[in-house]
This record gives sequence, structure tokens and C-alpha cells, in this order.
Amino acid sequence: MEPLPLAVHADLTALDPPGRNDAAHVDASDGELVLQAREGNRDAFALLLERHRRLVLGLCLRILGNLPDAQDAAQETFLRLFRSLNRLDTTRPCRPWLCRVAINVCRDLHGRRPTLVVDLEDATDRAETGRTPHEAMLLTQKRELLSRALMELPFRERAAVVLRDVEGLETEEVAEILGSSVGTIRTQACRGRQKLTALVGRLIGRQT
Amino acid sequence: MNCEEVRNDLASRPEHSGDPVSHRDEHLQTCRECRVFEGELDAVLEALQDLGREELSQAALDALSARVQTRLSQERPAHGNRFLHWAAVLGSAAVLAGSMLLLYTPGPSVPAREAHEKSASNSSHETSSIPTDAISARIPAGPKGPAVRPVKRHRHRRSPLQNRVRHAVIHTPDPEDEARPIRLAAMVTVDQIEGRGMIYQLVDR
Repeated sequence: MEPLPLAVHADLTALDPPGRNDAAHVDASDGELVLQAREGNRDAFALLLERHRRLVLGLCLRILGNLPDAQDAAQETFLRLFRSLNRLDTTRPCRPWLCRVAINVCRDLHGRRPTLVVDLEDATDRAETGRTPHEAMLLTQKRELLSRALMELPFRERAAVVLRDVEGLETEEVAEILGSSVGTIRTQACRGRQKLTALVGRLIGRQT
Repeated sequence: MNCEEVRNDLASRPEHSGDPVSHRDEHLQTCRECRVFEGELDAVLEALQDLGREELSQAALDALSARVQTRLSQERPAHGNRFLHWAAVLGSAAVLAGSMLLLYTPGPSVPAREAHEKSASNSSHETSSIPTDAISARIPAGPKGPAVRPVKRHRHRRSPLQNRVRHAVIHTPDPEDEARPIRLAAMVTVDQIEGRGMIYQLVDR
């Protein structure tokens, strides 16, 4: 079959329903979505939000230790993203930028509010696969214990451990996000792990 | 290697896996406490990774999206209006600067003003320097000299308006009898005398 002349093809494309244009965003890169959002496309921004909300909320939750504060910090992070649309480098992915902003927001919030560790049950999905109730309870206890121990680390060590060991980012990426050298991040993560091990041991001793 | 060095090395293991660690292993074979530490550290690292795999609840994620969207609906768009915003700011600044410039522009020098006044009094009494149709101004020379006194050099220490307001007698044609002017005592500005101002206040008739 002969290809349509270019003009006819363009006309057919123009007749696409709006929903189809929106669906095309799903495959778009972060930079493309930012460009579309800059032009006032709210769907593009909603897609950016949906794409990164799990990472940002999870990061805030590990750093702040409770869901209400984490929701506040994540919301502020996305609002800053919206306000910074014109300044963002569209050639780079949003993830490091979002992590950096989320860490900064958490640091501000951490300084203003007392650390409050509450039950993380509301924040996480308990309907996980194939565990007996006993196993699920043990897992929950372990996670809460670890979250409690994380809260006792100094902020920078906590951020380094969360980004490196929980989120699984590379040391170089963590260094870029936290604005430190790779050597500093290694030291902070190493110190944080040692403290965390001692803290978990102490907390287990306190519980038993 | 002592215990502290071994524990540091163990804790920084995720950073450089695959390094030769023969000295550490030798120490671990002989030190029970460090072996216990290694076991606890491994458990913590595993638990941290497990924490990263933990799924956030859909309700928490949806609540976040709803909160952000609600806030965004109250925000102004971050684009488009930015140009208008800055244009408005610059326009206001230009208007303000223009007003200040007009207010602070010094009048003509005293000799020039005196010459102007002289020419005004030499001409027929109603030749006006005021750009209104019906009003003409003449500054009478009092016993102490001209009514328009020289403006002090240190004008910036006083209000510019204070320096520029003068009492004056204004002659304006009577609407009923244009040949007979009406005298009005008024406060006028130096600018008005120079033909570019407004009457500030009518004192009496």
C-alpha cells in the first residue's frame, strides 16, 4: 500500500481525539513532559506526578519516619517541581532533581518539627504476597524497628543510608543529590550503617 | 587489622565489593565479637533493602496526588503569565520613576525665573503663562522682593512640594464680563508659573 501523501497524513493526525494525544504522554521522557507542562498541559504534569510519586513519598517516609510529615514533604516537593518547570534542564531526568528537593524539604521539616515516629501501617501495603499472618507481623515489626533506628541517626547519615541502601542509588548519584563528594558519602554511609547496627541491637534488647 | 578497622571495612563493604579482604577474613576467624557484628550488619543491610522493596499503599499515593492537584488548582500557572507579570512590574517601575523625575526636576534658575516674571508683568496684565484657557497668573512683587523666592540649594532636605508651592494672585476673566478680571488668591506651584503645573488649592476669592 502506498504511503499517504504527507499533507493528508497530517490532516488525519489532526483529527485524532484529544484522549489519544494524552495517551501519547505515557511514553514521553521526563524532559518532554516538562516541556508540555510548561505550555500549560496539566495532564503532562499529572503524569510526572504519577511517575515519581512512589519514589518521592517513599524517600520522605524513610527520612521523616511518619506518613503525615512525609505527605507534607512530598506535596511540597511536587509544588516546587511545578514552580520550577521553566528552570528545569529538560535534557536530564527529573529523578535526581526530585530527590534533592525532597531531601531539602525533609531537612527543613525535620528542623521545624520534632521527630515523631508513628505506626507505618497506613503508609504501606500490608496485603503483600504469600505470607502467613505470623510472618507478616514479624516483617512489620522488623520494618518498624528499623524505621525507629533510622530516626535516631543524624540527618545526613540517615539521608546517605536511605538513598544508598534503601533506594539503591549509586554512590555517585547520592553524592550529586546530597551535594557532597563521593568520599564523604562513603564515610557517612559507613558510619550510618555501623550506628544503625548498634541501634537495632539496642532496640531489640530494649524490646525483649 | 584491629576490631575497629575490620568493622569499618565491613560497613563500607557495599561501596567496594570484590576487593581482596584476606586480612579482614583472618581477623574474623579469630574474633567472635566481630563475627557477631558481621551477622548483625548483614541483617540490617538486608532489612534496609527489604524496606526499599516495601510497597507504599495505593491510598497513600492517591492521597498525595489529590493533595498536589488541589494545591495546583489554586496556584497560578508557572508559565505564560511570567512575561506579563514582569512587564507589569517594569511598567509600574517606569511610571514611578517618571513621576519621581517630574517631581524632582528643578525649575529654571532664579535669573531666568525673574526674567520670566518681568516679561509677564510687562505684558498686558492678563497674558498668561498658565496653559489653561481662563486662568492667568502673576506673581506680585512684595516689599521684600519677588514673591517667588530663590529656591534653596539644599532642596533635598525639604519636601520638594514645599519648595514648589507659592501663594499667588490669579487673574481670571469674569464669565459675565470678560473685560474685568477676577482676582483670586491661590496656592500655585512653581511648575504652574512655568506653565506646566496645576493649581493646588484655591485659598479665597
